[in-house]
Amino acid sequence: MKLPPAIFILPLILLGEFSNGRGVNEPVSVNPETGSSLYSSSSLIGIEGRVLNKQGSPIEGASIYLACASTSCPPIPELGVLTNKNGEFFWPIEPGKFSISVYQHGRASKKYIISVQSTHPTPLEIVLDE
Amino acid sequence: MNHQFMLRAITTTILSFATPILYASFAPHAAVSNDGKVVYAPNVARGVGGGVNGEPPKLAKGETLDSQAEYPAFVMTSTEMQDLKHNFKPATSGRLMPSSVLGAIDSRYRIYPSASGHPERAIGQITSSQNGKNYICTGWLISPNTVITAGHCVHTGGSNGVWSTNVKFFPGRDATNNPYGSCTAKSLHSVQGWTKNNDTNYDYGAIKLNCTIGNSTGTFGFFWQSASLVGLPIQVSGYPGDKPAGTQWSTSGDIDVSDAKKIQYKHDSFGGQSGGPVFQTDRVGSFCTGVCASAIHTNGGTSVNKATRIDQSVYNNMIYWKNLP
Repeated sequence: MKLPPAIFILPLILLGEFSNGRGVNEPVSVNPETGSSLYSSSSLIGIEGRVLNKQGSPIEGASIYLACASTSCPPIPELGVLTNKNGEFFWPIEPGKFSISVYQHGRASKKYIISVQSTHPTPLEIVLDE
Repeated sequence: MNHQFMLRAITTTILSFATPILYASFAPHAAVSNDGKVVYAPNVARGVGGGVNGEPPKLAKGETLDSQAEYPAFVMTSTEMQDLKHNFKPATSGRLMPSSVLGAIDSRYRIYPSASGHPERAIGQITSSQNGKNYICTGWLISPNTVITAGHCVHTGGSNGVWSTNVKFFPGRDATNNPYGSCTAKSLHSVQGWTKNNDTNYDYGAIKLNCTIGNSTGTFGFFWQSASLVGLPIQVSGYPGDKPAGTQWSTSGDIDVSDAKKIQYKHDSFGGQSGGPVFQTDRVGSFCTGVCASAIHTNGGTSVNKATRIDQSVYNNMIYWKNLP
């Protein structure tokens, strides 16, 4: 007896393609050195910032510290967030109210209060006095 | 007509079998890696794995259902052996006791891994990128090429998250001095509870290295037990971002709260210490003696800091990752 092709395709659809449009056991080649990854990221929530000196030049290697600034905050991962060569950083954190400060050469800047939005990355530009 | 009937019957049959499979496609402790592989229940045989100097772990009497341990591996240089002969204790050398910061008591003390030896040199700084931004974390060796760390140090968390890139591990880093060089990552690992749900209860992961530096530094032992960990004297070590770059710091104290998946303690810590070991240096007990970790540091707070507790599922995944090539 000859069966229609749909019968053979159906199990593959049911068993393989229900998780984020990708089979959970489907291997995806990723090189940790070069960057592509299993999950695409287009809407990360957190603080997208930049640290500059008074002359407007980016500060690289500064450490960005986050603390809770309200009665209730989401868990804050104790991640070390550093500025890159463009002075840019991204602090991945759920929405809430936080104080943020910049550590450079073991010294802390003044604190800034920031409310992280739930719909898009929250921008922040910090200009250090020194 | 016959074809339609047959198609409907087969569809119904497949759905009845497939539905549980679909629901089962998420398991919080299912091990995932950055090549997309998912392992739902790692087959971890008890008592298998490297123990002290490569010997199998010794399972104590009664260690059957509510506790389990993987033993540390010590490596001593000829100089350290020489030091021991002269009653020198490398584990406590090179430490500066508490300093004060900004008027508040900072209980952290600096570690000099080269002088301290094992286990301090089995702890290292992790540098990485996520979406082109730079991050630092802490990790610790449990085998020659396996580093344990926080989940958020290898993956940003949640189904929209990304795996870290440009991952490097610097064991025993001491400022600009890297006595064991650095190793790149061969693969990254965590669990679905973190990579899909961003759930801090499942915030743990591992890095398989492109080197076997643990043969030179020694490794950590680790254990789980169903009994409470409250009152257990512990040390929490890591590479905080508020101290001179690349320096290792530690605190000592007890565990205050012991939940099923998290523990809490009042140890000072800072961003960059995520992934650090919560451990005992001189554990004496019926199982896992010596340098034994019980949790993975993950979160800072205003009154307490938190770590992911090594429970049986975490332990099994750690063994699974340890045994990966």
